[in-house]
Amino acid sequence: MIPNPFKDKAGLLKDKMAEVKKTNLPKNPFPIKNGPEDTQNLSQPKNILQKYGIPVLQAGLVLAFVFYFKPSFQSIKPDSSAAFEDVLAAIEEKADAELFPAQDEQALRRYFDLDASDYENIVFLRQDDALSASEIVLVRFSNNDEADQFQETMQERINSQIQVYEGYAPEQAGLAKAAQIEVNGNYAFYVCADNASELLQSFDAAVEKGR
Amino acid sequence: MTFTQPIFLFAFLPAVIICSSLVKNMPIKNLVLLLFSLFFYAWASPKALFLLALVTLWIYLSGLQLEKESSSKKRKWYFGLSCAFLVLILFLYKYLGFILSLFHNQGLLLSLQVESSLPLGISFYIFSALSYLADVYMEKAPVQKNFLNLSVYIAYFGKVSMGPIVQYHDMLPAIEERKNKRQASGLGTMQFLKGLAMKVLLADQLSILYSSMSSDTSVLGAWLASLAYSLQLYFDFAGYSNMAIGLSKFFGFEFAANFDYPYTANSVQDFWRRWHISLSRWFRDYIYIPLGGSRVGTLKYIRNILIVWLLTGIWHGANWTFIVWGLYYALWLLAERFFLHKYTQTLPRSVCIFYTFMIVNIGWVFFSADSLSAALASLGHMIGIGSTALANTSALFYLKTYLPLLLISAIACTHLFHDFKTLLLTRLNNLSVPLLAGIYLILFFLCLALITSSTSQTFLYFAF
Repeated sequence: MIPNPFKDKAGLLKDKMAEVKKTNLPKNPFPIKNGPEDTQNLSQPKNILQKYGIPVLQAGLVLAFVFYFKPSFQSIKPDSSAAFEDVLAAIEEKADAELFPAQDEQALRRYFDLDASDYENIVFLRQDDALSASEIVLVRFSNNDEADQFQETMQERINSQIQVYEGYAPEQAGLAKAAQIEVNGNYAFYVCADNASELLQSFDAAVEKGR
Repeated sequence: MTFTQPIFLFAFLPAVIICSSLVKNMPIKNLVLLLFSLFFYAWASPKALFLLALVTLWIYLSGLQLEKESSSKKRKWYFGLSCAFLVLILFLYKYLGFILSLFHNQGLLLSLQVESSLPLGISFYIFSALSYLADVYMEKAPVQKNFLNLSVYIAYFGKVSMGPIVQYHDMLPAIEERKNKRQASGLGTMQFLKGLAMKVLLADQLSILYSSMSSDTSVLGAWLASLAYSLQLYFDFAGYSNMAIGLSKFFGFEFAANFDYPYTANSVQDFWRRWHISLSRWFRDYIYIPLGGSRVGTLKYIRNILIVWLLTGIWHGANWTFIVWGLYYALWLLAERFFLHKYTQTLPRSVCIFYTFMIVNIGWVFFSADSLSAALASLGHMIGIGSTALANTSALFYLKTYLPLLLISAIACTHLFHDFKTLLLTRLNNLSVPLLAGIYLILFFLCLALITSSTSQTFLYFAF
């Protein structure tokens, strides 16, 4: 059997490292009074981690939940005292008068199944042309609880308009897809038009004047 | 994905049954079940999966910490804080919007509102999580050190969305060791199909009658609406529970029944021993008994009943209607305990069943209404106050059309079908099995026909 030439050297190295480790240990700045207390002090960092590790992790979970839930809070815009006629005028100023003549209450019922008497004010602007998707509804609520129902109704209208036009008038379907619904305090606005964003800005600005 | 959707019946359920039966190793079996459960949950709401994981991790860590704490005072504090966080989550999602709207209606705190949809099954899995913490704290069960096992308890697809709220110590043995038995799978299939038939053939058809009659202002219309809702709610939720318990048998889980013919109860107390049993047990074990139960003085007993039933009402939703509904039952239970039991003991059983059903039926009017004023208006119509007529043509038409369904539903509320099945099994011996299989197969195809014709409705208890 061939003897291992490094065996002895390795053994020596091990002993030497142990010796170096021993001599390099930092001196305890505090005098040792009794053994057990001292060992407790030395292992303190580990105990802190063991003691508070789980609560720290749970605090992290609470924070994670706060960040997860925070977007659910929304600030409610206060009601606007702007006159309905002024808001309507601001919208009509930017809207093509030919495309958006005012419709009567029966049309509101026929197209949206909405009862005008449920709202403080409501107006429906649209052409009688069935080939056009352009339309506007402006409403002022008597009770802000009506907002959710109004939004739902308008969303249903958008979905149905998309379905209607998708087959034969893709550009009108595109308009319906880009339609916007916004609730701003006691006002709400539904718009399906080429310049929907511009009309929406006018609506917001007019409502804001009443605050 | 719901239990009645074709994708669940023909893709998800077969896939999870096959994968689960192929695996023999218990940890891997649990892992497979967990992955499928997470997929099932994420299908409905991927974003809410985060909350489910957060709740599971929270109780896992709380359990470990509870085990570490040796001082009973510290354990109590830690248990209280751990539960408080879970209750806070439930409060924020379910009740904060309602509380803010109350302030909003009073002209206070106008600048804040909550826009969050209720995460699927949150009331059910938070109660499961609380059950785990309470079981560990009360030492009914050991701390679960295996995160996978705890995750299966919380997220298992058979109960995550609508219960049953199986208590942790009841489910623990099956999570750690279970075997798929052929006989259990057979029984599970029958129970699942029975639940499917209750939901699709009865509940969904009754919902059409309810929605048609709910705005009818005649006396007959109001009674038809309330009866239709009482029956619909039972077949909907009991149907779901049967499906959940039945499919769980495939995976080796044996859950206790959640309904026990509640409309044959002969008192309000008896009714609540038979309706949504898992929720009643939860409140009994974790609220009522720790408060002292019935082994206390009269005043404390009244307090305990009021607390439990107020909480039961609140658990169902953030609306005054649920609070009134809970307190309505508290008052009936107290009345039965202190006054009515003398009379109910002497009356014939059929009269007691009728009296109980009437109380329950009136209770569901509060439960189903959007507001207290709507509930009171419906109750008024039932006794002729504010009603337009005794019966109008619409109500008479619906009564004539739906009378067979109402009669079948009334019979299905009793033990009659169960007794018939038992009779078949005992009298026909060899013929009974193929005959029963044939009946269940016909029911299954009927359900499929209705599901594919899109008349199937979502489960009512998803809202809670």
